[in-house]
Amino acid sequence: MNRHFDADALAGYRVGLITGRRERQITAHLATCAQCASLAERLAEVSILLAAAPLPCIPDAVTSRIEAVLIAERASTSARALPYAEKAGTPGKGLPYAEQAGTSARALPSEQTVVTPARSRFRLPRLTPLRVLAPAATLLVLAATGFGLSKLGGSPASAPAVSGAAQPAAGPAAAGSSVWAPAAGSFATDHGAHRMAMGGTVGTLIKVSDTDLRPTALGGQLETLLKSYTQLPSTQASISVAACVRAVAAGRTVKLVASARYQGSAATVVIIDTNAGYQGLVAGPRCSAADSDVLATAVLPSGISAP
Amino acid sequence: MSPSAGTTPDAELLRQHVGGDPEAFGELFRRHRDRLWAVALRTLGDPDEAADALQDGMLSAFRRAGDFRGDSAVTTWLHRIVVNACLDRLRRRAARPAALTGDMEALDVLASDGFAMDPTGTSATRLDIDAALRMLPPPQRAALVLVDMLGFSVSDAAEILDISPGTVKSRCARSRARLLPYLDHLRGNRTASETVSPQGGGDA
Repeated sequence: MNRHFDADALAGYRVGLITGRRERQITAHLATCAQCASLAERLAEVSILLAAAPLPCIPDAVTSRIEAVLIAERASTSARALPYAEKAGTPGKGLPYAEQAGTSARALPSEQTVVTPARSRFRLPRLTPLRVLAPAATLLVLAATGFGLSKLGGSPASAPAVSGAAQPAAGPAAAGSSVWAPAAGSFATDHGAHRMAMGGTVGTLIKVSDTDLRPTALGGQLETLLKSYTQLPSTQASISVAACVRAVAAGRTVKLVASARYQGSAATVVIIDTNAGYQGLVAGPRCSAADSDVLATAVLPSGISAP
Repeated sequence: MSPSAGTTPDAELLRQHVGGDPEAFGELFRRHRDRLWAVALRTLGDPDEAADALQDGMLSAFRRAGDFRGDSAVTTWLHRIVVNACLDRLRRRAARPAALTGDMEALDVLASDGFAMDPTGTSATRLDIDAALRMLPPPQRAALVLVDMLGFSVSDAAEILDISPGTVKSRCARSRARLLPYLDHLRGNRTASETVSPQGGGDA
């Protein structure tokens, strides 16, 4: 039995996967064959080399981004309780943070029937608002090339893999737990599986225009915006804008994002794809992860064919 | 990286988070972020993908904290969620160019794409550790990263990957055997600093 053993066999032998007669053969062979003994030794050193490789440190940018996403998630868990329409009557004039927080900290509305246990226990925490550095006289339209609209929690692909524990049968998907987060080029619908290629490269791109939104014409203006945003020039979006949008969207599916002027003041527009059609929300310049600061809303006709 | 609230056990932080403490989960993240990042980066081999996967994982953990049963360490649970987020991404990525059959050899071909890999291993290219890892099929790579690079026990790795300890062993053994020709040149100096990166490895 002088046949040499290959690396696979010796690697299996080292971890005890080979037993019985074959194990005895390898043991005996290694005692007499310098070539195979050397191979076994080099195999052992592979593990040593791997263990000695320094662990990479997480880049600060990744830490900041994830912390912002977690803050936004915390805020949106609470902001979910805010019926945006109620705030439509206060255009251009936002409430102080504390009052906003107080408003949204009340009990969850009854229409939110499906929540995960973790969510339902949430109370609005005190947060450091991520202020949006609102660009003056610009309309920033979020192209889905960079900001993915991904549904992390409820997607069929990820849900079963994340935890062995069972979810409520309906799952957070029914409650619109879609997550708006900077992610590379993905667009997931409420059902998670419908991914649309939005073109472009990885990166967070937004588009720029100069529309000044007016309360009296809001629906039409947002409709025009939704139809034509691909023709606008692009620029980069900040993480603050992302945090704002997540707060405004409150877990619902985001169709389009804009940060625009509203009655002369900087504002952020978020168009939500509800099951019944599109809803446009205009958030004020103080929009942040902690405070959606919604100034006005408009229901858009369903059936708009966005590009 | 010693956190200020480092005396609170992980499981207690997680309970506080479920109970509504706004700071507890962030503390957990800060405490484990470097190891979780290392797992994501080494499993995916690409920093952008790793960042996205880590974000997916942390968001999932944030939401599913109430599901944590306490029959494993919190760190094992967190790694499990992040590793699954990584493997999800790899599956989705793999599904784009061609439907994967799950066949190991097919995975090998994909994984070695661009590295001019010699299947016999007789004329191996010199690779640094990260490049060599990328040549492994993702399931094997994940097991090896957990056990050999992060020091998880076989049984903890089995729990993280939701496979049997025997499968962890066999994946690690196969991975070591496969990496051997590519890492042989590192023996003795035990650092990857002097080695070349593959010309096709510009994605990391």
